[in-house]
Amino acid sequence: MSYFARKIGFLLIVLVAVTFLAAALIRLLPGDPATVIAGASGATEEELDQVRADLGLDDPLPVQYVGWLGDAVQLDLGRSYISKLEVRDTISDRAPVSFQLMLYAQIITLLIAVPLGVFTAYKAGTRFDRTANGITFAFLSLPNFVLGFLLIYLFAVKWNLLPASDYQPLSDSIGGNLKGLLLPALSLGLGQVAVYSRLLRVDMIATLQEDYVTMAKAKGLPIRRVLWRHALRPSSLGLLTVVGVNVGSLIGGAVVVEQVFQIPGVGLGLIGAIQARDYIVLQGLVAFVAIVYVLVNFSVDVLYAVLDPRVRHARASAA
Amino acid sequence: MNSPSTRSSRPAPVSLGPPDPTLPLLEVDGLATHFLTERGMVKAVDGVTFSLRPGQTLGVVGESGSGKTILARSIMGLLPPRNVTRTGTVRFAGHDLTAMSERELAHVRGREIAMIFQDPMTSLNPVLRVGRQITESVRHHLGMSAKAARAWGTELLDMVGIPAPGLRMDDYPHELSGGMRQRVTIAIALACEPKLIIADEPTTALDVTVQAQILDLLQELQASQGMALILVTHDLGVVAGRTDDIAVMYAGKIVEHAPTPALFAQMRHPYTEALLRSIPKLDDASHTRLETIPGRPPDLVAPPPGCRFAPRCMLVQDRCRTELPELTAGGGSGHRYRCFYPVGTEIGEAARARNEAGATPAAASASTASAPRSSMASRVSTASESDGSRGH
Amino acid sequence: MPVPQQPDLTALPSSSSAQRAAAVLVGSGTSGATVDDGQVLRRRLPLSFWISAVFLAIIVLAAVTADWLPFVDPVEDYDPQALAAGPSGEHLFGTTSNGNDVLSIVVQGARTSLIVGLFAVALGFFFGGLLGLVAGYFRGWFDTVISAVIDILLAFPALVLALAIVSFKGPSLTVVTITLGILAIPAVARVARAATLQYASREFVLAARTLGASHKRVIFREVLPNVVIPMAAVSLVAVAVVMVAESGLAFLGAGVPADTPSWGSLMKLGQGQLDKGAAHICLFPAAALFITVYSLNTIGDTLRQRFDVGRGVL
Repeated sequence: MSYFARKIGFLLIVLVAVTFLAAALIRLLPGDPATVIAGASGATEEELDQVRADLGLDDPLPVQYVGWLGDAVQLDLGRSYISKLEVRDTISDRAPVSFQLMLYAQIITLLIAVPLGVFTAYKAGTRFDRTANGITFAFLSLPNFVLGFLLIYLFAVKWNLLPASDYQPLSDSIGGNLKGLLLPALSLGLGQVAVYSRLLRVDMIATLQEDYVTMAKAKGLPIRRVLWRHALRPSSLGLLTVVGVNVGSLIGGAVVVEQVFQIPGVGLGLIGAIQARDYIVLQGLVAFVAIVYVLVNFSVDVLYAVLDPRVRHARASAA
Repeated sequence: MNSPSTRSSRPAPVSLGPPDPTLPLLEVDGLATHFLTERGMVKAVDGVTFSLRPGQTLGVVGESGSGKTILARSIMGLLPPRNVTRTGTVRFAGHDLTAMSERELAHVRGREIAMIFQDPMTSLNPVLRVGRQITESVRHHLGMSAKAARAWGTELLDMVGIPAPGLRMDDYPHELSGGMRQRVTIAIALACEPKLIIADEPTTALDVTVQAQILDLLQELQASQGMALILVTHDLGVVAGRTDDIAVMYAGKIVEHAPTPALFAQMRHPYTEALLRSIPKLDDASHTRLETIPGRPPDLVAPPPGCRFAPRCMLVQDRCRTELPELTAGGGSGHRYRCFYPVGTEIGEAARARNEAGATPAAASASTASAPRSSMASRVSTASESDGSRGH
Repeated sequence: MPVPQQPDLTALPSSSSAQRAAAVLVGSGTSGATVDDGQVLRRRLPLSFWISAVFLAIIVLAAVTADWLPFVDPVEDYDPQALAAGPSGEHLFGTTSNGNDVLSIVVQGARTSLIVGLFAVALGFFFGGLLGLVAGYFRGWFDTVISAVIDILLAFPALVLALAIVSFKGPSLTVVTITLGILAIPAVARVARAATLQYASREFVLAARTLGASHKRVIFREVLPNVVIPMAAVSLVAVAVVMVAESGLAFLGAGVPADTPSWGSLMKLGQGQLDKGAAHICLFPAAALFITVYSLNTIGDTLRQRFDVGRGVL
């Protein structure tokens, strides 16, 4: 079997497993969903039974899953029994918001981390290296919501430069969108600088010892060109993987930061669903987040192999 | 092969002007490169002095670990940025390279002095196309346009004997064979028509059949372009017919330095002699056991106090263990060596005779030069030697 | 994070060239490598390590001895004269909007955070470590299955699941601890598996097998002792991760019960006061969390570099 065929086969298995768990979430979570759902409208025994039947809770888990999956592939993830909104619409409203936040955070992180990783590798062991490492490490130890408080306190309260909580859709105002998402993106991104720059630094240090880098120096190329053209690309595959994992997890993982800044993304939706015991919305959002995570990781894996043909050969023969 | 001077796309003349053939092109004086390690100071290159005229070829020979690669890199200043000290001077066409900043050195590297590395698999960047790797130095140093550089790069590939050079320009290194790759690195080195090429074990990583082709190519190009060449190798046989001079290195020092004919006419240093014995000869019977040098190269953190080779030497005397011999001239024609009891001299042969008679324990355990080597230890040392020389 | 192996310079004079020594040295200047008397390169623990150790010692000591220290009760005692008052001689860290003493809550909250962090990590490391150890040692289909399950579980946002479980179960120290411990298992198993792989094919393990030792004996006598040391370094970082998660949960209103002092719930309380001139309510617990996490990370990271655990996964 070819590398890609094997990869896609594994992807399908993982997707089934992930959605199965998401569908089973209703049963796995403590409490009786039927009581909660029906209870919202003062339930009788018949009503409870009706809810259970609707959710497939009377059936064995696999039957419930197949029913859920059948709807899900038609993009029918059910309807909130509180807001009466389609879960599908909730996702299409919220996902772009979280996606923007993730994108801004990644851009900020990479803009700082890549030059830092390159230069700390080049200057490995110097005072500059140690200082940069110390500072980024401190940011890594700053939980993102704590950094969020700090940024709100400084930029919104003390200096009154940026809003503490003012999400504007991109379609309304590009400037307003950027302004509203800058602090949350910084909260998410600054801590990751340490992860990215250290990873790149280590790979760069290894690359800088390669003969082809010495060769580039022996050609008399300026050190900037040696670092950026000859050394960066072969060193960036490890970084790419971690960026991929982060992209996948930040779509639904920015829960606390979205709460701190009241950004109407997937994270805030999850919190709302949990607080309201909105099982259907919770199930749909969790399934969405997990599927995105799996798909992004799959794409990174494929991209990795495309970027470096040698990896494809090595992996196919090792697997 | 056509001379590139007749072609339109060749690079403009270089800045330092044509070298004066009567003056040395390269003068290395007391060059020492020491690495600071957790065990102590590793004296990888320890006081090397030699000079090279324009167009001259020099072979630097030694086992791996003798410091010859570090010597090559020290000349170009291609050393790790930290925990290294380099002392002594390297003058190139009258300019002191050791006094130059990185920025100034960048004008010399690639343009005036080029380098060819041991393994073309690792010395070509895997993610950049061959054409770009060849042309980037002329683009940078000579400001050639992309179009002119590409034409020149194609010519260079043709010059180093690569078929369909125009197509190969767009290949990635892993799409080429080992021999082709080394031809590419030679093309890269030639790109700016440098005055000196330093080739560090250019054939060690290649198949035996390809080795000779690459060496012939280098020799041909060196002669036709009038470049000086330093050929670093662990194999005395490689430099035998190809260089004007030979310098033999051991434990960071030159132990013998002579014009090639003079050296082969009469080797003076016991280490050179031992190196020669370890080369297979064509007229040997096919299963003749090769001579190997018993023992191991010395610990470069704490080298022996006297002659570095003393612990492995057949001719060793008490004086050799306490006193370091100087590199002194002897026998005329520029033959210099670092030995108290040179091979082929009266005192040297007397020393050998004494050791063969069993007077010196070290030499006795290392057996004699005339007896075939058969001990397990010596075969093991040969194996590790060849592993080491292949690097990775 | 990984750091280049200590240069193996004992091999230098024999087979490796000085070039290799040079190559190794380029990357060796990472963790506090300093040039001593100009002759030998030495390594010592960096200053940040000792500062972190002192911080951590103070926090742990305060958490342990909180009951005997002369603090007012963080819940019962409140000062109606000082609502949301800034730091003063009487209340060093100021008071909350209910008049509770912020310093008391921060000190008692340290205890909550440490209890959750230590027990959850113990739980996660026991089960996760066992799984990773077995998977990494036996390889084969068992490893494939475990690894696939780990990959699948890691696709779920752990904090969201924790939030859901704790919310639906109701706030309780035990529930928070167990939930976070269970959610740590996949990540820990992955690290333990990687660490085990490094050793499972080493000579001494193979030798023990060849000599007829049982799998159980080899795992616990040969592999485990080697895996435990690097895993201990990782576990410190894991404690930090769990403490952050606990604070995050409490901030989201799904942590420990309301009457249990906690940094996260104090921050939640303080967030509304950030722009009302009482930023101290939020910033003091935030600082406490930061210092604790920084200390744990620094110590864990330093140890990890020492023992050269493979690329950090946490």
